[in-house]
Amino acid sequence: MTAAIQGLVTAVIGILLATTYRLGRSNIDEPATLVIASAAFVAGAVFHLHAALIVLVAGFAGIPLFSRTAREPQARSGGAA
Amino acid sequence: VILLELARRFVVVSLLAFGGGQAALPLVERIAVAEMGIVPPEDFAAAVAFSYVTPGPVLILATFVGYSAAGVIGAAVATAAIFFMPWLLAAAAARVLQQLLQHPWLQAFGRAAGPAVVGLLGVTALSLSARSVTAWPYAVIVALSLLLALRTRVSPIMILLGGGIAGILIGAAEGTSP
Repeated sequence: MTAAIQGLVTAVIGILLATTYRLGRSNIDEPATLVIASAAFVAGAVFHLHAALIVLVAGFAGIPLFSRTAREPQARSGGAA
Repeated sequence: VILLELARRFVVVSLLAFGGGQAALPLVERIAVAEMGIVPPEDFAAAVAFSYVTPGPVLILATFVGYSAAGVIGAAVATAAIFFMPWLLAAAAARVLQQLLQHPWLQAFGRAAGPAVVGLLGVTALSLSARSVTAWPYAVIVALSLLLALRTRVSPIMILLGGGIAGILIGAAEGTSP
């Protein structure tokens, strides 16, 4: 890796971390979502599971986890979530 | 055969890109570097950098991967594959889709898939770091770039440009004082 590219890539990492932080702020809002994010990180970093598999498993796990809480505000305020 | 394989995989990637193009980076990395071996790791890191620099969506990265795999045709196929499904979904049924997205199950799916993507972005950052943060000055660039991206309105292009220049300076310093 040439010096310029290496500098460029490290700058990308910084921007990527900033994106991770922003997405984290908007997506992680309760303990369960924090657990999912941490589990996904471990699954990818430690166990090298396929990223697509992780997203799918997390999503399907979310259906029983969140479908009740997701419906609540609609029932209360008539759909204006 | 490689074209079909590439197209099939990128269509899947585009469907899993919850949270925008950057969310799909870990998937593209896995496919292009680890599974199909089309792009060497350091080239992929550079390609990510350039897809940030060029205007438009980050998934233009697919064009680069496709070109590495099968030249101009590969680039065209990969680009079409990664943008086809989102385009189709958006165009074909904007209204139906909006109602569908209100479905509690799909909302619940998204609420859980979002955090998972956040964790995976962390994995991508980690694997990029392992190859490029080889000395402490590079860690300083990461920190500076993170700070600039979060706290200021400095354009990502300028941040990347600064990173490149800093890299040259670090390289020169290492060369003169080993």
